[in-house]
Order: sequence, then C-alpha cells, then structure tokens
Amino acid sequence: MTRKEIIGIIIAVLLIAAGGSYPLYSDLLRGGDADFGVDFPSVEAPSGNPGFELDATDLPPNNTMMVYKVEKPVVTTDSVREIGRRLGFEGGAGYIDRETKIAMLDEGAEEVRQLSVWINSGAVEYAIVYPDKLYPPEPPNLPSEEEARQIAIDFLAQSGLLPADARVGGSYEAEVVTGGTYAIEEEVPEEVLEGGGEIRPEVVEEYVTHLLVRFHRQIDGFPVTGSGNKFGVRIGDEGEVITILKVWREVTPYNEVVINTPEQAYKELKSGAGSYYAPLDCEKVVVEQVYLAYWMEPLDEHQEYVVPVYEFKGKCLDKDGEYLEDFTGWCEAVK
Amino acid sequence: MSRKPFSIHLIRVVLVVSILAATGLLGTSTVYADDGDESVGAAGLGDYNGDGDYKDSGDLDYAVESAEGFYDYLRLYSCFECSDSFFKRDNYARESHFKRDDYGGLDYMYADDVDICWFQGHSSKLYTPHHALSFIYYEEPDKEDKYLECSEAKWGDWDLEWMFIHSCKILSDYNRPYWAWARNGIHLICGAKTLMQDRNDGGNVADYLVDDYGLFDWAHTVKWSWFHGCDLHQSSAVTLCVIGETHECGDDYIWCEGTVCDDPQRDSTYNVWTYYCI
Repeated sequence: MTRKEIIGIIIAVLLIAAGGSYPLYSDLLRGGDADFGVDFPSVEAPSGNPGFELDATDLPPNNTMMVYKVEKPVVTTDSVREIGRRLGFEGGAGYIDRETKIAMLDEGAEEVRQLSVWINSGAVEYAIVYPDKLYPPEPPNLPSEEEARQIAIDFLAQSGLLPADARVGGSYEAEVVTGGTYAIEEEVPEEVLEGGGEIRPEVVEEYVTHLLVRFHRQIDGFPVTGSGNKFGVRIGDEGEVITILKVWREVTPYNEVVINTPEQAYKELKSGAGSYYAPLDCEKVVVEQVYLAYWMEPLDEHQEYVVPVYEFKGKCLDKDGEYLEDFTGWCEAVK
Repeated sequence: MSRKPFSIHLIRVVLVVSILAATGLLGTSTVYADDGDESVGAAGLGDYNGDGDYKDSGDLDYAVESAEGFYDYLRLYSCFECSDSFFKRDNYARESHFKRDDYGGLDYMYADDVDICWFQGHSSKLYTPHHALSFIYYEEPDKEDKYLECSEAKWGDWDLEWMFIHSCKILSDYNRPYWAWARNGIHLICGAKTLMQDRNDGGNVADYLVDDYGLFDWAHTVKWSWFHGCDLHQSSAVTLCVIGETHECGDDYIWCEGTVCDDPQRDSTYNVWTYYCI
C-alpha cells in the first residue's frame, strides 16, 4: 500500500467518523428525528386576548433537560389477573371497550367490583361499580384527611399499586380534597330567568359524599402535568376505598436536549405559540410562577416520549384589577 | 342488581302511555313518556375559526370526533338503533335543534326526540346574560340564532331522558339555577361547573354506559359514565356536575342496560351531584 493510499484511507475513515458522530451531536441539541411535539388542549369557551405581566422570580436556570422514553407496557390477561389476584379478584380476564382495555369483574350478591387496565398505557382503574358508594343517599362517615391519606397509601401498598418512585423526600406527595358532593337546590323564580345578574343557588341540603386523595408524580424532581397526570383514590363511608385511577407510565432516560430559556418561552406564550385560556373580561394576566414540568398524554393514548414543557401559573384580572380566576398556560420547552 | 330486559322496558312504556292516556295527559303540551324507540342524538362543533365571534379563539380539534364517537358507539353496541337518531357537525348543528318548540325551535324533531343527546362545542356569555350553547351557523333569523340560552331550552316534554353538555361552565354556581329551568321531564343534565377542555371524551363516556362484551364488562349509570368517562382526559382543575329532578334519577342506567327511573314530574327543587376530577 502506497503512502498516498494510506493517507486516503485515514482521511476516509475520519470523514466517516465525523459524519457518524454529527447526528449524535445533533440529537443532543435538537432531539434528532424523534417527535417531541406536545398536543396542548384547548378550552371550550372563547378566550380573551389579555395583556401579560411577568411577576415571577426564580425562573428555571436549565439550559438542557432530559427527555424520557416510555417503556412499552406489557398488558396481558395474565398480567391483569396478577393485579386482580392482589385485589381479591378471581377468575379470568378479557378484552372490553373496543379492545382498549383488559378487565376483570367480581360480581357478588351485594357488590360488584371491576378492574380495568388500558393496553396503551398500562393505566389501572379499580372500582366498586355497584352499588353507587360515591354518592350515598345519606351523609357518609368520612375519615379525616390524614386518615384518608393513610388509608389510600396502605390500600395501594397492599395491592401492589403504589409505585416505588411515588416516594418523594421520605414522604408521599399526596393531597386530600373533596371528591364529590350532593345537594338539593331550589330553582330561581321564573320572573328572573330572562334577566341578567349572578344569582347563587339556594341550597336546601348539601353534604360531601367522598374524599379524593391525589398523588402528585415527579420525574427527576420536576412535576408531571397534562391529561395523563392522574393518580387518585376515592374514599367513602367508613374509609372504604371505592375507586382508584392510576396512570403511571414507566420511563427511562432517553436523551439530553437543549431547551428554550424561560424568557423565550414566555414570549412564545404571549404570541400565542403555546396554549392558555383567559376569560373574555380578563384584561391582564399576571404570571406568578414559571417552571419546567413533564407532559403526560391521556391514558388511552400511546406515548413514546415524555418531554419537558414550561408551565405558567398566575391570575386573570379584570379592567379594575380585580381577581377573576386562576390562570394556567403551557409552552413547549424543547427547541 | 337487576338488569331490565328489553321486553320489560317495552311493557313499562306501554303501561306509562296507557296511564297517561287514561288520565288525559296525552295530547297536552307536557307528555312525560318514553316513546319506546331508543335513539341517540349528537352535535359536535369544532370549526369556529371562520366565525366572527370566535375567530380569535381557534377551533376545537376534538369536538366533532368526540360527539361522533359517542353517537357511533351507542348505535353500534347498544339498543339505540332507531332511525330518529341524528348526528350533526359544525354548520349542520343548529340552535333550533335544541330549542323549545313554543319559541320556534325544532327540539321535538331533534334533541327532544331522542332518548340521549350529546352537545360538544363552545359556550359563552358573549351576547347573553348567562352561558349559552354556541352554534356556528343559522339560516332562519326569525326562528334561530347562534346562542341557545337557558330560557330557550325545555327538555323532556317529548322524549329526552339524558342530556350531556360537553362545554364550559353551563352548570357553574351562577349558571346552574338558570339552566335548571331546562328541566321539563328530563331525568339528568350532565355538564361542568368549571371550564372543560376540548377532549375526545364521547367514546369514553359511551364505553362506561354500555356493557358491550358481557363477561368482563359492566354497564355503569349515566352519572358514573359522565364523571368517569370525562375524568380520563380532563384535568384536575375541572369539576363536573349533574343535575336531576329526583335522587332516584341519579341511579339511571340507559335503556337496555339497567333500571331507569320513572319520568319525573317537574318541581321547584332539583338534585345536584358534583365530581372533582383527578
């Protein structure tokens, strides 16, 4: 082999190596060919076109963020039966609802329970579907908030539904709120029906029917948001667990990507590139918090990547500067 | 629980009609009876972009698909097969289809001529005192416009038992006392106290309503189906709401799937169930 041929081969190898490594570098910067787009929801009311004021401190300093790949869930009749076994279900499992879920049914004389697992996400729903214990005909004896939280954690742990990474900082990020209410109301007189004004209903009777324990997921210290951010336990009379809905896609680190600055994202939000809703009488939005979060798609959709987004929280003010309602907006973070 | 076979349902309808005939109630403007033909109606409005009132708000990408999903599912997997059924989208969905007949509306041919009905689209109080259902197009200005106000709805005097309104704030604390006046024999009106997101919820609600595979599936009540079917996609900021004439109506299943309360007589009070999404 001549000297020229050797030099030629070395140059060729170097060129091939450089060409091969470019996409990796490009991946780091832009996310490669993967689709990291986010389908933000619209709201079913016409939105106003308010002015914006940024009143947030501690803007995220991150230049890059990890994109996570969703592990394909393995949902089979056997895997569903295994979940069912831990919840006291017996017998077989089978496809329901256009073959989007695999379910088990436990039909007792006094009570019917159902377990469903979504094929696309592995999301689990457990429920006492009969009788309707979420809305009992008499006021229920509900546990305290702390008791409800512990009941939910214990039930999930016993049934194997409490994810290991639900534990944050030595405790569970769980919020206890009212889950449902029942009331009897008196209607407004007919003569005021066609007029304007804001009349609140006259309540004859009202009670809380069940509590809701919401678990808040974090990924690498960042909150999860979006329609697929759902993990809740509904608790009724005498502390009975009535329903569980758990969307918890398993994820693994995929790629570090460069993201927009919060200032760029805020600019995009104002220009309409992101997604927000403000009522028509909202003159000004005051953005009080800007933070990075991970977007989770609804439980019946196949999701390949979990990507970071900017979430904006604040308040809508009317023309007199009076508070109207809370504000939430989103904007894509990946460049 | 006992599930009601179709034959029993037919017998019940005949009995109700007979009793109404015997008591002279038939032929008056208030006829609280099911017509025995199970039918479904649905309207999805998404193409608001060309509309002057909404052009800044953008379209609703899922409204039509969602309404159609609800309609198709009930037609395919339940007994709601009657030819009275209708599905209307965008410009073809009109305010008059939901409007009471004594106000020039055609609800007796559409929304109130079916047993179960789904509306999905914008609502606003852009030009009305309270939130109104917003339509895109109208042809006969003496009979219709683009906003169905609460005073223009009177449901249940013909056939309608269950109305789903997938739209913002129709049953908010300020709107609910007014929209409660739309009750006229209807069993349940399902809506939201808060904003609702434009999501493809129609098929999910129908999934819960119908026991389509038997062995592992279960038909859920109308109230349960609305709450849980929407909760799959709606955010934790959304509070759903159902109002009904009686407490018993809150336990309704749809026809052929379980028990249905007797058609209720309207009175000055109504029942309210709220549900906070996860």
